[in-house]
Amino acid sequence: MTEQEPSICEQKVYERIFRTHYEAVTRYIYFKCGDIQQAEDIVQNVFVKLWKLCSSVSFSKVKAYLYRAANNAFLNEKEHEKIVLKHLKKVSNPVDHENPEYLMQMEEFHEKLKNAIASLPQKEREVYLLSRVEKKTYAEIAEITGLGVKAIERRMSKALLQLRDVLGKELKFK
Amino acid sequence: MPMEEKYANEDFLARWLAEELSEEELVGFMTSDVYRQLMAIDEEARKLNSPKIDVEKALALVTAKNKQTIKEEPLIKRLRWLSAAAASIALLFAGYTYFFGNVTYTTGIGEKESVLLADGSLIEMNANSSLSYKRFGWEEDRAVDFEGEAFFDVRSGKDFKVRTQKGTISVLGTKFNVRDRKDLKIQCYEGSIVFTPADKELSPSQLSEGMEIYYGDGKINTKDFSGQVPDWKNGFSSFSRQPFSKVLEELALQFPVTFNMDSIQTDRLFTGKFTHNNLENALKTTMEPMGIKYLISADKRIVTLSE
Repeated sequence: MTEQEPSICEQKVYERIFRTHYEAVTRYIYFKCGDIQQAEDIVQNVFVKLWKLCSSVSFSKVKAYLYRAANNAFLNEKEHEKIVLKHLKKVSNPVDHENPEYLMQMEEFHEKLKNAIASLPQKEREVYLLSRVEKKTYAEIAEITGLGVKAIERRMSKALLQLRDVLGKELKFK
Repeated sequence: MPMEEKYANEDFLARWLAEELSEEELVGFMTSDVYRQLMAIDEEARKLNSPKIDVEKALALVTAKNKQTIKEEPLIKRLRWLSAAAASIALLFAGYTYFFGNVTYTTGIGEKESVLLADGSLIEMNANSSLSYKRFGWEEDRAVDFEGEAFFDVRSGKDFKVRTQKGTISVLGTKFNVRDRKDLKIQCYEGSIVFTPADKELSPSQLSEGMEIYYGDGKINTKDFSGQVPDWKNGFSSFSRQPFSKVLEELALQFPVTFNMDSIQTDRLFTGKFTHNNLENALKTTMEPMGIKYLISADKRIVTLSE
């Protein structure tokens, strides 16, 4: 509608938006559904729809539009019964001087952590992963989810508590 | 152990995350096992990496899909399909209105919109406002017709004019906010501006940075104000010792509601603010301090007020 703003109907502008936001939105949906293929499908459909509606979405609001539309599309899909975050890989350590026994323990702990995150409720899980994996601030997460910062802090606190409940006994301190 | 229980608590952790703990609480917490456990979990979690996503491949897929979908063609293109005669008349007419017409932007209740002009000047419009200017020749004639409220960030260049019913504002390059509702209020945030009232009896006034004028009841008052940006740009409206009727007026601009009130005194003064993004919060922060009860109808259109 705004003529002076870049029009999303222009292929170049559309591609720029795609390259800027596709990955982040897809990960956000992945954190919700735990299935990277499903996440990609959802977000690609959102972009196809954006192309159809290009003249009615304003450039300055496109980021919020994408997150909101992807979230709605996700809510319309059948919920996954069991979340497995198998695509969440550990950053490998190139040099390792640790002793093998310790490494094995860490490996085990790492698996348990992944399972614990996967079994968090969806709302807490997405906030936790956006914060710890995507390294987003609470304010940024609030913007993405359309919630207030207070609500994000509360979900984060719930997530931390639940992870500690499951994993705390693995960690003994002298 | 009781200490641990205190820390492993949702409210406590939420306060910690919000950095609301006192120095004492923080020190106590940081020496607890709970804290060490959380840190150890965190350290592992931060090693997790998001899945790799092939953006270019996805873009190629989506582009291919987009080619198959038929987009709604803009009006001018669709005219091609009409008969030649009708098309040429329509085109002549369209051409005429296009070249000599105005570009108009309007915002409804609760809407905001930014308009970027050809010279890089930016106009950010608050709710229920309208703006129009000539489609061509902008650099030569920088003038807009305006009503409502907006923040103007004008690039330097030729004289820039904002025409309202109550008078004209002329500037060179500056930042200012115009609020033309029942009364007119102009706040200058940068540079200087001149306001020429439409009423010839009144003399023009000049404003420099940090000054505002208020034009109501046929009088113009000048005073100083502080602040970097108008509050509405940050998504709220604020009031300082204003009659409550003004608050109700502003609420009706930001939310599509009508107020149903019988015995409410609206001349009492109100100091405070309300947010633009949530009706219930806005009502809560304005009505409760005034001791007014409110009831929102099921369709969220009518708000009934009572003492």
